[in-house]
Amino acid sequence: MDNATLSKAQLHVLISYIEKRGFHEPLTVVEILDHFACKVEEKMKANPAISLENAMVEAHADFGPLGFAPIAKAFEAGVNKKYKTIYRAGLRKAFKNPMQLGVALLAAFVFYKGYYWAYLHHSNHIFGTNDMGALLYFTTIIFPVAMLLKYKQNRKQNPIINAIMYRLAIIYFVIISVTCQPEPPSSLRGLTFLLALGTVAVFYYTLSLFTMQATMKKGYADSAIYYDYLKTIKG
Amino acid sequence: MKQAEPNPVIKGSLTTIILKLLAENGRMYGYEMTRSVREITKNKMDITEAALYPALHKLLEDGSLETTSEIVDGRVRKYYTLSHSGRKETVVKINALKDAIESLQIILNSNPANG
Repeated sequence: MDNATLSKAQLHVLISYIEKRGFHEPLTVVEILDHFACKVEEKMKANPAISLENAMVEAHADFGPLGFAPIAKAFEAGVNKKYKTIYRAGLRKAFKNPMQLGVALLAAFVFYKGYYWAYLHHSNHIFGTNDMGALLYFTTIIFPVAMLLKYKQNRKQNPIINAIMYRLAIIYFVIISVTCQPEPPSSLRGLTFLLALGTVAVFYYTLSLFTMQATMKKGYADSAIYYDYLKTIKG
Repeated sequence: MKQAEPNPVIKGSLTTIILKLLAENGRMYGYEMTRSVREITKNKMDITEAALYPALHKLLEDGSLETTSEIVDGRVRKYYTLSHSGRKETVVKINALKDAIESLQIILNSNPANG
């Protein structure tokens, strides 16, 4: 480490400087940091009398009128695209799996027969529409919330989260539109068929949530070096 | 010194410049690329961060580059290397750029009186 190499305390000052300019997401901060630190070191090497503060201001000016924004934008777009691609590939793999389709159809068949049987035997407290509703709420609300709580370091602006979480709303509304018809079919067969269709939809929705969870897990494993690094610097 | 917007011709050739640098040096980090271009061209050419990083991420998206991160000098440094397809693409892009420069030189050196 030569004299121009920034110390841990100086790197902490640089991180604060980056954060003060509106870049708070840890992955983005670390992405900017090395390039910024190299420029600051270059300034300090060229002029050993310069203060760290002035070196930072000069180095920041060298980034041009947009400052750190182009690096941050390019990085976040890259991360977003990468995890969207991984998520889509995971979904394709899960949805094309014949075993998953078999399980979904079996679940739909069981629900179909069960609801029919329950209706004929006046036992609607089982296999009723409320059960479907409970399943729907569990998968659409409780599961994603539990998933977010598991990864406590998540923030709203995290590019990995942005890449995949918005899809929840789209899939949610597809399921709602399939299962919650304003006028339920009057025939028993029609209603039962609709519920069976809903079962398949909920099954695949749950499958997409598992894929989402796997993508997030991979994202956080990939970015562990960034989080660990910031913890070390910030103490 | 504030960086000016790069020459549009240079900006259009930036991905080829990056591929060429990586083909020569094996692996490089972002700042090293900007410094290397300045040194090679004796400060005649300066690549701005605003142009470099979008170009790097475009190449990553296309699968031409791969990255590895490691701690160097107390911070996380991201190194870029050519992928297998990136090595093939480098040859194609360099040849295409050379052909384009050759054609431009012919046009720029031609005497309009002879045309």
